[in-house]
Formats: sequence, C-alpha cells, structure tokens
Amino acid sequence: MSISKETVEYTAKLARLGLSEEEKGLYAKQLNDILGYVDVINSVDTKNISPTASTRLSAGKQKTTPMRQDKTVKFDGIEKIIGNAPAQEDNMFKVPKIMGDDEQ
Amino acid sequence: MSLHKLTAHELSDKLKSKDISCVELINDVYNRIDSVESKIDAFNCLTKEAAIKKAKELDNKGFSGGLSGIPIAIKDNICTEGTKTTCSSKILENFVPPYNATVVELLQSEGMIPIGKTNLDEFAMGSSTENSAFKTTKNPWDIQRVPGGSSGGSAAAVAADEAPLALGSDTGGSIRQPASFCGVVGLKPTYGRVSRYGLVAFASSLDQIGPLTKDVTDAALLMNVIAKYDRRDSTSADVATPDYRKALIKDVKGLKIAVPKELMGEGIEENTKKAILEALKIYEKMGATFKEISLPSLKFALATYYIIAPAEASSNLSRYDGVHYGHRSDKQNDLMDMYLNTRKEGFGPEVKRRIIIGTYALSSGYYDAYYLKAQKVRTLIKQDFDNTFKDFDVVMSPTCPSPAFKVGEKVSDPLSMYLSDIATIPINLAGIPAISIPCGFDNDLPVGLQIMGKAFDEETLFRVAFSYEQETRWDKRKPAL
Repeated sequence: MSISKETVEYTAKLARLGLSEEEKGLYAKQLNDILGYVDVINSVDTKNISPTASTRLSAGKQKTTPMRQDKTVKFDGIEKIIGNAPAQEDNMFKVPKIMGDDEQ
Repeated sequence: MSLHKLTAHELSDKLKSKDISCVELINDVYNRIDSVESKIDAFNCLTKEAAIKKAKELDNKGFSGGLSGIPIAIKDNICTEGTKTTCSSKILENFVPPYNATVVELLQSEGMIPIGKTNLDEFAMGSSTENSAFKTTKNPWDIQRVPGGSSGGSAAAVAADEAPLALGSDTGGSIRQPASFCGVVGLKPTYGRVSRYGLVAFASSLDQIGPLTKDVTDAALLMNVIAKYDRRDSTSADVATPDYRKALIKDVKGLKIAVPKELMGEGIEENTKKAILEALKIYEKMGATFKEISLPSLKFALATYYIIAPAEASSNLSRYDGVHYGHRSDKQNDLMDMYLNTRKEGFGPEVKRRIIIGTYALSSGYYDAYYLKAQKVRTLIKQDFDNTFKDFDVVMSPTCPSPAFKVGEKVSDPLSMYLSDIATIPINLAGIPAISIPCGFDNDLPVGLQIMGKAFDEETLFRVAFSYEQETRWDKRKPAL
C-alpha cells in the first residue's frame, strides 16, 4: 500500500492538524516507510485470538475495575482553570466564530 | 561536603542522625546544578525558592527516615500545581496545572522536596530528548551523545548528581532506555501499580510512572512512596503494596532466568551482548541458572507498538485545541482555522508524525487491518510472557541494542530511532514490570541489563537486581564532569 500526499492531507484534516506543503511530502514518504514496516503484523496468524485493549484486568491480581461512590467533589479553583485559557470572558472559554463565511 | 554524590538512602540516614540539615542538602544540590547544568541541560525549570522554604520547615520538624527531606527531580509531563508543566512542547509552554498529579501529592506527604522539572522528548515521544521543543539534554558520560529518552532529563540529572533521584514515565521504554544510556537504575512498574492521574497522557494503555535512581535501594524506597491505589485513576489496581525494602536481599539461589534469543540476536551490538552474557555468568556464580528460550511474538512487538501507541496518542492529543489551555494561533478566522493553525504551530515534527499515523490507523477502512490486528498480536505477546513465567522467575535481556548514540545521529530517520526501543517495548504491551540496572561499560559508555518479571511482582525484580548490584557495584562508577 502506498500513502499519497493527498491521503496525508486528508488524514491531517481529520486530526485537525495543519501541515505545510513540505511537511505533507515528507510525511507521505515517512509514513510509507513506517507502514511498510508495521505491515509485518499482517503475517501473524490471529485466528481465534481476542484483542487486548488493556492489560489491566488480564495481568493483575484484581480482575475487576474497582468501583467508587459516585459522589460530587467540589473543586475550588475555577480561576486556576480559566487562567490557563488563551481567551476568556466571564469565567467562560472564548472561541472565534464557529461558522466559516462560506457556510453561513 | 559533596552531598550531591550520595544516594537518597545515604542522605536519609544523615538527615535522621542530624549529621546534615535539609537546607544544607538543598543548597548543595542547587550548587551542583549551577556548576554542571550548562553542560547537561537536564532541567526545563527549577523551583529553588519553594524547595528551600520546604527544607527549612522540615529542619524544624525533624526527620523520621524514609525519603523525608530528599530532593527529587520530576519529569515535565507530570502535573505540578502552580509550577509549569510543559511536556517540552510549545503547545503547553505556559501551562500551569491547577492540580497535582497523585504521585506529586504522595511525594509531598512523604516530605520529599521537588527541585525542578526535567526535559523530555515532546509529549514523551522519542528516545533521545532531541524532540524537545526547548533543548537537547546531553549524556553525562559523553556530552556529544544523547541521554536517551523520553525521560532523558530525569536520567541525566541523576547520573550527573544534579538530583539524588527522579520520576520518569515509560510508555515503550522511556524510563529504562535513558537509565541504561546514563548508567542509572530505572523501573517501569506493572501497569496499574502507580497512579497515572496527573500524568499527561500519551498512550493510556501503556503509560506508567516510575523511579530513576542511583541504586536499587533508592528505587525500592521511592516505590514505597508512589505505589498506591488511587480512586482517581480507573486503571489503578486496588492491591496491597508490599514494603519493597524487605525485598532487598542478596540471594538468587535457585533463581530461573529465561533469555529470549529474539533480544540477543540480530540488531544487538556485540559488546552489549558480551556485557549481558557476563552478567548472566555472575548470576550463575551466585546460584541462579539461565536458559535461552524463544518468544516468537517479540519479532512483531515494535510494529504492534507503532500502531497502538500512535493510535492512542492521536486520540489523547486531540485535547490540545487552543480552547481550554495552551497555545492558540493568532491566525483564527473561524474555529476550524484556529484548530488547524494552533496544532500546526504548537506541535513538533515527531508528534505530528504520530498523530498522522494514529489517525490513519484508526480511520474508517483501516481500523481492522491495523488497530484491531495490533491488539490481537498484543494478546500473543502477553501470552508468550505468561507462558514463560510458568517455568521461569525472571526474563533478562539488554535494555538497549547499543550504548548511547550521538546527538543528531538518528534524527532524520524515525524508524532507526524507533529500533532503539526494541527490547523495552514488549514489556509495556504485556503490562509487566521491568527494571534496567547498569551491567558494565562499552568504551566508557554504560550498558544496561533489563530484568522483567511477573505482573505485580516488583519484589522479585528488586531482589534479583539488588543481588547483582551488591556483587558488581557498577553503581559506584561515576561520569567525569
């Protein structure tokens, strides 16, 4: 399988990641190398093998996720959270307009 | 007095006996940092004022032992309330966490003193710290060479006596590989043993926080502090934590060691192999036996990892969108523009590469062929280890295929950089613990021995590592700086 510049462009858009023209070309090449390498896993016989998303429950002494009370805990530090925002107003996160000019 | 040369447990004894004061200790550590940091570049920031204040408080109270009063360096992807946590990324350059990671709370309640935040590859993605947006940390054994990564700042700080111990994080080798390159001890605990709450997420099913220390005893003491169940991490295991100090016994009589030939063959440098074989002979002399085995699935571990880790990363890193915190681009016509440009400007090349690989592997049409397939191969890797531990107590291998490489050597070839984690990656996929300890030198560069154990059996790792360390004392050799 070969990854084109257009595929990189499309994938980057899905990830909301802007790329320069130069980056698109570079990543297309490197992605081909990397995917060419990882393709070896398709030679492994995995019939009847179930996937492992996490080893937490299969590798542990404890086979279930510990449960806790569903209790609200108050966090007294709104200004510490809001203080990190690049733009804010009245304790809310401020963003640019959501609709593009051509979508209105 | 050159306090900075001592281990944490030696310092703890001196504090307890009032041989030294904590303020004296903290001052000595910062003096050491002042004299070598310009060569090493281990730290992103220092917190001297707060450290000295804390030391004064402790001096008034007195010390009861443990790690109380001991300074510690913290990898800059672990959240520290009020102190910047940047992940060595432009996108988090000015991020000040509103809360502490659970491990930081635990350090504080022990009375340990954070001295600064250490450099890493951006978002812990890399094996050399060269992917840091701010600086490249140098290896104290040869400043032309990398310290390894991604916890390269933590490993170099400990090796250069800038900190008696440090915290790192390990997703595919990020504690063990730099520990090996810098000649220090590094442990990746069992997945679920140490809380990940407040560790900036890279690949959530693989990430684990652990210690980087000058000797095995210090690693055990630090694990006594940080290995605790945490209700705020749903993958934290609610199992009892033993007193790891009790595992520090020099005794490996009857110990059965497995050595996978897949990690001792092609791609492993001759001198590294020789150092491992000599270590195995020392174990034999102490009453252990070793046997070469085959773990066929290990051939596929690196490929499996480079699907699973970027897939999880691409999802975790979607939160950096310029809204809640971190960098926001000035070029923001509309919301979409803001996302695209914020992430374009904020992320470095390796992070972008992994976001693209991960997004691709998860995208419609490729999910089954890549992500699901990789998760199935992951099952086989885990089974290979499970089966091995039916007949053996531990598995051993080199931590890295070679000693530290030169700055710039692998930067333009991502795949060759990835290959330096070939022996450490399978352990994260299997979720088991592994420790890297110094086991000799190749042309004055440290070589690391990796010891892998059963899930939640860090005690055996400590006993086996401690036995070798007491026999060989490689830990006593220091870089000339």
